[in-house]
Amino acid sequence: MTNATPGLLTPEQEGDLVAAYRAVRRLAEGCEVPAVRAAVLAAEAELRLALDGQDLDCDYYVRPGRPPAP
Amino acid sequence: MSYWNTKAETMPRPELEAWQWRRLRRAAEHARHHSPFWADRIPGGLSSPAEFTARVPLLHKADLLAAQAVSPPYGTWPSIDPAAGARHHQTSGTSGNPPVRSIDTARDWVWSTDTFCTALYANGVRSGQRGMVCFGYGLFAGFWGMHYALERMGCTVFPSAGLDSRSRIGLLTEYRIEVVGLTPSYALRLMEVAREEGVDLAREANVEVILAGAEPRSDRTTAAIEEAFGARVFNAAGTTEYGGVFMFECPARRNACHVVESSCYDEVLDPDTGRAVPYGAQGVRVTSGLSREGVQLFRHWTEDVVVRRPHHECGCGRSWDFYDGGILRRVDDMRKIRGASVTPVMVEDVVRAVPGVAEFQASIRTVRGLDTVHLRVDAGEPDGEGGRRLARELADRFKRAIGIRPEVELVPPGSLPRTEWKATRLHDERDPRTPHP
Ligand SMILES: [Zn+2]
Repeated sequence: MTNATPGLLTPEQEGDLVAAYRAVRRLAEGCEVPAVRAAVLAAEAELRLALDGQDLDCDYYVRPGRPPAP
Repeated sequence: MSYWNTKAETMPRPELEAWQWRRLRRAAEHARHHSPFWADRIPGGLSSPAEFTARVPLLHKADLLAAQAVSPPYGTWPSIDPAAGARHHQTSGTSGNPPVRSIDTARDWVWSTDTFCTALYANGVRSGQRGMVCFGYGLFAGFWGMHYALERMGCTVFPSAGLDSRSRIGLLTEYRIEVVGLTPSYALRLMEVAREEGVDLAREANVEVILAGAEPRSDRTTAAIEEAFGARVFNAAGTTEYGGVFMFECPARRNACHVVESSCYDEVLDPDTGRAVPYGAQGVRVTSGLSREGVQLFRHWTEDVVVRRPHHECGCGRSWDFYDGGILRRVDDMRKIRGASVTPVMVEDVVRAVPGVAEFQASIRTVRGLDTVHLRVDAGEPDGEGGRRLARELADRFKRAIGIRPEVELVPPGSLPRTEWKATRLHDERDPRTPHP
């Protein structure tokens, strides 16, 4: 466990955030349960903001067009 | 000092500028590839911010309206299929001018909300507080973002669309609401109704933070609102075209409005030469968005007149530069009256200095070939002598500050327009064909 600096993520937390985003993206692409898919898309929007705000690599504008129907 | 997002708000300047450029390049690439409008305006292969500003033309409102008109409602402007939009908003438009229409994805709204959170957190808002947004919750984007931001921060929101001022005052006192979002004009209206109802807001309500956005205001107006509510007033601003909050006032330095530089790349340009002005000089804010994907802005000539100062002149530790005094005026707000330059904020500053003025309207007219100022003032119901004294004081102050003695007319209480949104109090009724040196 890395010591935390107040206000900043630890490297472990950064890794967890990136992993969570990737997992959610995978789910968003393959999930066909409308209720789950809608929740996953909402989570993806949230996690993208978190990554973006921490200057971590993330995909920008991955789905610029019409989102697949839930 | 704590921040909503320490990494973004305190990033050392060279890193911040490099980050902005990476994001600007990505945003521009997205626009170039998905928006026919931007494909025509943004060249490929941009390699630096200097090249970006040299090669991307300034964007004026008329350009956006023309892009919309190609195929209404959105035309060629959006960078997404509008079917992917989670929300439509639009400006009010004016006679002869259609509104600017925006379309945002769910991700855009998450970002937009976050910009409001940045402002509210800086202003001291914390989880567990109660907030009320005095706003119509309609097609106009306005304070929608503040509603979501309060929820996101763990506050309890009281949406007050459709409530009249008396009911809103009732909510403030009954629920001990600590955070309020409104325009300065509407704050003045609430104060007036509270006086009529015999409610002392500073004593009977519990407001701590007022986020008063959307209008340039005078220091005098801010002070009057703070005194009446017993709360600190903070400035903040965003636009429908941009989609989020682009500046917020810092508690560490009065009137210092930090630019949310993690989300925008701002230039300040001389309106005559189009060249960048140095820190401390007035110029027009030109903004490019780094975050939004539905509709995007690059080098938008906002018409906001600002004075930019370096971040280190504020003691809060943020590395974001600030606009001293926020938006000082709109570039076309300045009026020449008998050679003197006058802005709506200057007039407001003079009039609000006179105790007892509830509302006013100022008109510049030509009388016998001479510029004159006509002030219509609602000062409640002063007796004959009181009214004459108030009119005299107002005229004297106006003459001292602005150089012209206005005609002052006291009007019946409640007869001047009140608004929940932006108020226009200075009207130029002179013949536009006559030059006003
Ligand atoms: Zn500051």
